[in-house]
Amino acid sequence: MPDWKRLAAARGLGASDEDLARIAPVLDPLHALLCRLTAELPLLTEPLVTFRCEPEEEGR
Amino acid sequence: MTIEQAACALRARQVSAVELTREALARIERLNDRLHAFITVTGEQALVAAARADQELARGVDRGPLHGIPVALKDVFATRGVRTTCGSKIFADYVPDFDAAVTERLHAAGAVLLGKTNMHELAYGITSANPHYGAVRNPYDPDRVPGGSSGGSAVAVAAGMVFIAMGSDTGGSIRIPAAWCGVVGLKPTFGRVSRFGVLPLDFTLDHMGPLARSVRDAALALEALAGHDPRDETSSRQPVERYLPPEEPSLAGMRLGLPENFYFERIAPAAAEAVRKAARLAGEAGAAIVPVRVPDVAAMNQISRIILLAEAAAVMQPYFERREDFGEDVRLLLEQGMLLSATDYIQAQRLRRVMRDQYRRVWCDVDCLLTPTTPFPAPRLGQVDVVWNDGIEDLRLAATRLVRHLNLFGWPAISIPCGLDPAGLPLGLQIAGPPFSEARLLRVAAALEARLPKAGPPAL
Repeated sequence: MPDWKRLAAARGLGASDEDLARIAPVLDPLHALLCRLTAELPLLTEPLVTFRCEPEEEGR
Repeated sequence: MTIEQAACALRARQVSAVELTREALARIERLNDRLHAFITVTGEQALVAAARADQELARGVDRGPLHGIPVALKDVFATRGVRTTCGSKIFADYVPDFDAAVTERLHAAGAVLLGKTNMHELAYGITSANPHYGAVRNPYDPDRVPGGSSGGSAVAVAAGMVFIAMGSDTGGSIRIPAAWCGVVGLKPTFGRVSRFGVLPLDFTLDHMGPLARSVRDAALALEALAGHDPRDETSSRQPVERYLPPEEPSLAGMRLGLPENFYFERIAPAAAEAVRKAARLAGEAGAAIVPVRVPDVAAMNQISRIILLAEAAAVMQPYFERREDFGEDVRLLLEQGMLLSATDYIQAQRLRRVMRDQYRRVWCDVDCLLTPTTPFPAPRLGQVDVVWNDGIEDLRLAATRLVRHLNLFGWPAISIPCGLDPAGLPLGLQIAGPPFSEARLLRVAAALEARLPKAGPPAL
C-alpha cells in the first residue's frame, strides 16, 4: 500500500498530520480494490475518456 | 399548483406572473431564515422579468409552459451579473459576465429566476450542511438534512418557494435531496443537458437536471433544457423527444426490473417496502415485474469515487493554496484526490468501460429498474455514520450507495416520492434506464406517481 504520508510530503501537499491520519483509512481500501480489479483487466482495454482530435463538426 | 395549472391560470388572466412571483418571494422571505434554501434572492430582477412575461403574454408572445413560472438555480449555474458562489468561500465574490446554457434556456422559455439556491460546498457532499452560507434544513424536520448537494433546490421546491429548481448530480446530488425532501428529481443522460457555464465538480460525472413538484413538471422542465450545445463537447446530438407523459400513462407491456441483489441489502425496512409496494402497484397496472441480478455495484461505486476524487482535485488544485477557506469535509476529499496517481485514475477509467459493458446487459431483459433512491430517509444534522445490525457505514457512502454508479455510466434516473416512513419522513423510488430513455422513465414515473401515496407538503 502506498505510504500516503510520504507521498503527501513528496508532493508538497501540506496536509496536517491530523488530516493524513484520516486519509489513509479511506484510500487504503480504495487502492486495494483498484489493484485487485486492475489485475483482471484485459490488456487492450482503453480508458473510457473521449479525446477528439478535431471538433466533432469537422469530422462529419 | 403544478406548472400546467399555473400556465392555464396565466393564460386565462386568473393570475399574473407578477402575482406568482410576489407570492413566491413572500414565501422565501418568510421561510428562508429557517431553511437556508437560498444563498442569493434576486427579487427585483425577478419582478422585472415577471412583468415582461406578463406583457409578452398580453401581446400574444407565448414562450411555452414555463412562461412566467418562478424557478431557481443551484448556485453552480453561471448567471450574468448575479454572483455564483458554488456554495464556497473561494467563489464568494464571483460574478459571471455570462449565463450558463441552462440559465439561457430557462430565460428563453420565459421562466422567472428568483435566485440561487444553497448547496453542499462545491457540490461535494450529500448533507448541504454548508459552513459558509448556513446548513440547509429539511422542511419535514428542520433537525434533519435535506440531502445534497442540491439541497437548497430540493427545499425550495418542497417548501413551495418555486415550481422547479435546477440541480447538478455527480454521485446522486439531485436524486438524494429529492428523495429526502419528497420531491421529484431527474438526472438525465450525460450529454442530454448542456454543462456549459456550470462550475464543475467532475468533468465526466456531472449531470444537470430539474427538481420539481411532480413528474409532469420535471418533464416540462426537461423539454426546455434538453438539446445539443456545441459549447459543451460532451453534449449529445441525439434528437430531443417529447418528454411530457400522457395524462394517464399505461404500464401495459413494460418490463420493470426489480433487483434481487445489492439494492435491498442494508436498507431501512420502510424504504425497501415502499419500493416493493410500488412494484406491486406497477404489476397490477399491467407491467411485467422482472427479477434481475446486477453485477458488482459496490465495486462500481468505488471506481466512481476514485474518478471523482481525482477529477475534483484537478478542478480545485489552483485554489488549494487557500486550504483554510474550504470546509473540513471538502478539504479532506480534495487531499485524498491529490494523493491518487495518474495511473490510478487511468486504471479507474479502464475499469469504467468494462463495468459499463457488464451492467448494460441488464437492459436486454428490462426497460428500466426500480430501486430505492436511498437506503434510509433523511438523517439528522451532524450525523456522520449509519448503524446497521452488522456494522457501521459512513453516511456519505451509505447515502450514495444506490445512485452513484449510474453517474459512472451516464445513464438517466429519476427519483419520485413513494410515501413516508413511520416517522413521517419522505422516501424515494429510483427509476433508472438505458441511455436516452428519459421519455420512458418519465412515463413509468408518472404512472406510478398517480398510484403511490402522496407525501403531502411539509407543515411550514
